[in-house]
Amino acid sequence: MAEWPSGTGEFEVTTDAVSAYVRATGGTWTSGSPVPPTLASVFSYAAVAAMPIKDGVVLTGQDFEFHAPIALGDTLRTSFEVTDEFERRDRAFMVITTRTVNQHGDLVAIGRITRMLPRTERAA
Amino acid sequence: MTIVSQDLINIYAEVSGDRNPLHVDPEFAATTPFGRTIAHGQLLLGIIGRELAARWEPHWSAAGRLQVKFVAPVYAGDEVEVDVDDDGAVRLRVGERICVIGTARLEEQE
Repeated sequence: MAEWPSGTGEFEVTTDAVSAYVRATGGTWTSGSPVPPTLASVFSYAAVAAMPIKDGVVLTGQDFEFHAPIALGDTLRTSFEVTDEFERRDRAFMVITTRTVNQHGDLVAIGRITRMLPRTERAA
Repeated sequence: MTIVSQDLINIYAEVSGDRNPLHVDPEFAATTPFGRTIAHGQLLLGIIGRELAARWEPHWSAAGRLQVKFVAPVYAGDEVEVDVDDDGAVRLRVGERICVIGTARLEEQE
């Protein structure tokens, strides 16, 4: 799987970022509430945006493990790598594993994104 | 119950940076097998997450485990409901149509 890039991305946990995320998922943010750990959807996606194939990719699965609460003011660093590729019913899939730590080095979240690739792409 | 309006999808696109036209451009979406715009899977995961946080915080942020599969599209304008069973089975549905299935739990903490 060496042909796929790996990489890292940084994300600042600001009040604006959190309140916008909560609003975008149909909720209402009140100051002092916990930061939703599913904010991981946003900072993982931001890191994985470095992947070359985008058009026609379909998200088919997402797993998250949350390990430490996210706090306002945190700087989160997400690394990613392609950890699996497989073919099912003549379609190619890939699994991208993300790992996010905060500025203290504490593990915050691990994610596994399963994507179905466009028909033009073949699994290895 | 949450209404997944096109406005909500557009806001999620801006917040996440995922501006795939399948989500935000009705004219483009009409040319795809879906026929109209669909919600981001991660937006649906966020709606599920609100339900799980309400149930399990303050433990959810530090020990939550969530696995979901996106099995059917949610279209702009759909009203979605989230069910969480006592055994952690999770469903997001539009009426009887199940769109996301999964499991959620808290990892044992020391």
